[in-house]
Amino acid sequence: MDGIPSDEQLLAAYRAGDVAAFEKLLGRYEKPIWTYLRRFVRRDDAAEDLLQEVFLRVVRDAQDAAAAGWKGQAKFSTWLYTVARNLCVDRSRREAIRVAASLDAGGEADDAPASLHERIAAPDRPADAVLANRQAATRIDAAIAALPDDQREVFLMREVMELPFAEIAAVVGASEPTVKSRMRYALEKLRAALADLAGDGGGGAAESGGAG
Amino acid sequence: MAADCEQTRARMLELLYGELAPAARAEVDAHVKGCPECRAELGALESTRAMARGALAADTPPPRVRAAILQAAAAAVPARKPVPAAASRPSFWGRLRGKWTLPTFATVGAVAVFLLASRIFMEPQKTYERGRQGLAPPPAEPAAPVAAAEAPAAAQTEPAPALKREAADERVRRPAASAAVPARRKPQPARPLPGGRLPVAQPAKESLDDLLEGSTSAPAKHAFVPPPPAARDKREQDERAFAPPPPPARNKRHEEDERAPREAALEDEDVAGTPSPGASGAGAPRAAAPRAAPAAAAGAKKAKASADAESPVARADRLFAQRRWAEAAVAYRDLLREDPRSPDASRWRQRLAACQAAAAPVAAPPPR
Repeated sequence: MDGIPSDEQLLAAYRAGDVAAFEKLLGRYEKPIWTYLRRFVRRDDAAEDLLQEVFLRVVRDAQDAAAAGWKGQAKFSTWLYTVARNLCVDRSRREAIRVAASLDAGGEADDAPASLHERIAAPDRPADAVLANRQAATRIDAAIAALPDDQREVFLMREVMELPFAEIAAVVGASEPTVKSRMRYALEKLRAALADLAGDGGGGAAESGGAG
Repeated sequence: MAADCEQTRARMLELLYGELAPAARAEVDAHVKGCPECRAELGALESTRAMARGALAADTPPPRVRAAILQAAAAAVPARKPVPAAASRPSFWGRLRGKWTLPTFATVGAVAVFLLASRIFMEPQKTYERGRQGLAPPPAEPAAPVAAAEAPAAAQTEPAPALKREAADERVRRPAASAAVPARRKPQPARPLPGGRLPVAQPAKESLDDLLEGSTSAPAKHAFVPPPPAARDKREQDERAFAPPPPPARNKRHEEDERAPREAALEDEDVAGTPSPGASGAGAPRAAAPRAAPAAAAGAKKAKASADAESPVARADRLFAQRRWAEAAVAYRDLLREDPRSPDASRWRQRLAACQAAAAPVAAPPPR
């Protein structure tokens, strides 16, 4: 564990000109940021733009000491997620109407047909038995996409970015109880939406999940 | 129990995400173990969570975005790297460069000049040639200096070095003519000359003397003079001694090459019988002359091959304009043979007739 450099060390190394350090940093955060962005804006092309924008901010921040970026006062990851979240919020405000329309049309499932297949084939997950077919995966994606923005945001930060509730509260700018409340609502909604999935083969999954 | 269930549900989220303090966690775990309802609740939430996580885990960032980001990250580094590097201290190489650039280039330049000069002026044959050209009446045909240098023992027995010595003596008697030679040469340390001659054309003569005198004078002083024959194979020496000296042959050929165009041009004008300043002074005939000389000898075929670059018509017209009647006639005849129905055919015919008339020994100048 001691041999693994911290995010902050990697960023410092990149500041000193070590591009490999930046690549490591990118490797750590690319996937969670991508998932967060993609699930938040619910459009892959927009998420690609945002993903690039987030990490270009890191580059700019390291490049320019005067840039309004991470200054070491918080964890790098918190700063990074804040950047990602703010970009998403800005975008959502601009395209609120369009996002709502695409949500009504169930556009999320159409946006990523390829990844759905991958989800089913993806190994090393306790819910593999539940994700036995494409339809189930589509349902889960749709259920996540259907969460209200503030709940989905908190849910994604907790599940994807694995931020503690206190940090989510800091990023979102709400109190910790509010964040927990949103999280509880999000989980309850998902549970309700996927109850029949969990009920079919999910009873056993729930049991095994509880036991394990 | 109901109160415990209430408390447990309130903490279930933290339990689910492992955010409970150890003591609180032990408490909640104990309750869940004994409470089927709370266990079912927790199980359902865990199941839901697992399904969601499974879906989220399948998201894969697009590689092209990763590539673009990395490219931008790499591009940003050299843009800002040199600033602190330059500000803090000049690099080792920078300092080295600053200190040694001028001396290095100066040295390299000096060595290059020296080598070039030695190559040009120290070559005895060239030196001799230069000196000879400076004289108004060319002396007798020189023998091979290189051969003489490489096999002086054998060469001294031949008449050629004697001639050469005469040439050298002549140069000494005409210091004005040969004064230009040392001026352009790399200076060499003065040295008493064998035979007590005046060191007027010293460097040239000195090397010549060395060649003529052989290894009796110190060869180490002249790094660029061919080495003494000690290391040479005896058989090779003999061969060289009896072989016809190559450098004069080369010179002769060179002279012939120089002479050929001039004479060819003169011959052309002689054939025409009307040496017009326009034809000879235009520069184009001069360029064409070397081609014309073999053409006149070998005929139209060779000329045709050598003038591939221009069109047959243009070539014919050029030859006509240059009053090279015989070649122009052949060219026009070829044109007429190849394309008799050309719109220009009548013009070609007229010119062919004019060429033939002009090429006749006592012909008058053709109508232009």
